[in-house]
Amino acid sequence: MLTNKFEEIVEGAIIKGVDGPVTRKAINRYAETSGDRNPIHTTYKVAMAAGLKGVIQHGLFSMAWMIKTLTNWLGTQGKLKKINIQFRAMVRPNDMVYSIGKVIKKYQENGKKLVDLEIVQEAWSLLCKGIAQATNKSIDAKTFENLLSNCKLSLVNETVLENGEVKTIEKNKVELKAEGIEIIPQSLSFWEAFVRGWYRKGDKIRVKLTEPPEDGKAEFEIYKVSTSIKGNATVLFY
Amino acid sequence: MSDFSSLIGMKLKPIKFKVKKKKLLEFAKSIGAKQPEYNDPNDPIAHPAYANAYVLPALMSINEAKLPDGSPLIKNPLKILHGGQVYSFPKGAPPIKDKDKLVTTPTIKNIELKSNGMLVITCTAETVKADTNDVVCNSEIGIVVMPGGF
Repeated sequence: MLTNKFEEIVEGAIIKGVDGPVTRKAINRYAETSGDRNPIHTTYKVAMAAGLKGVIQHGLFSMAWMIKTLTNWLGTQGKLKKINIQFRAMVRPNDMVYSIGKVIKKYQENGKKLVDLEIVQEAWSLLCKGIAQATNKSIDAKTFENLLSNCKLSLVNETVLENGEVKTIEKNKVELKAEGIEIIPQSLSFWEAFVRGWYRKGDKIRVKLTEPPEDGKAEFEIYKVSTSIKGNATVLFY
Repeated sequence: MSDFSSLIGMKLKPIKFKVKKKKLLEFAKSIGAKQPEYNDPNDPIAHPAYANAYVLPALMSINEAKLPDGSPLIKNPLKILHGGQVYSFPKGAPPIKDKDKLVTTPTIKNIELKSNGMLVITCTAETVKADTNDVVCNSEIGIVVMPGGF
């Protein structure tokens, strides 16, 4: 964690916090403690009826995590003076949430010690877990991740030609293609994300290997990354 | 097309909120705030994010706003999305504690129909301690109403 001593803080420094994975239990508990019992957060059928493709975390719950990241950093050295955020994307169960603050200005005004921050929060939705085998068996982890990051995600209908007719043998099969790698997806969350519209072509993805590749083979996770919150904050140091 | 301009500047009904120790503790726990001042079983103070709890009813009070013809501004509350939020904690504001009585007064600051068919409502809200009138939080709430919701 970045220093919280005003004198030592430098512009450009980064504060980070991580929360999650989001669970329906945690959302329900927040609904009770905050009093925000809007059923789009707690009841699947209501959320679907509202066109939300499943329950979503309260925006203010995500904002609370952002505020907590700042107060955890400040400790007893200061307090939050102002926070101004926009909600940009929905956060859903199973997402990991990363709250990030960047110091953009450190100054004194009327004897007060102040720091302005740009704040952003990313929601990482796990789309797919799987195993991949690279053609190059001595591939390093970074190259492997780069190759996987360029993979094409799509749903296809697997078909065969039978008696001169095209017959579908598997509908909406997950297909991941990347140059120089054979990919075997193993989880259904990607399928769910695609079918429900949580994932769309062109969405930003991040790839993480769960461990370094061995003989060109590695387990991987693919996340869709959304900016759930963007804004700015000012903190006051004592 | 409804005329929303008559609602700009309208003060909505003030919302009263009684702070309870148990709720302060549960809230801190629900967001994972671990600092002792928010978790003191005898005398906790409200985490800054607890503004979510006492300002939220102000957000919901938009459901009671009515157009000049008496029809509700919001026809379907399920079509409401939260667009943005601002909290500003004034210098010297006293900490919020058990048994505090808070009053939040929301005002409609702006209403704008966007070209994509969304209605964007901005409300400001001032929260004071009822017994001392100390301002503890100034907030601004951005509400997005999807087509079909107004």
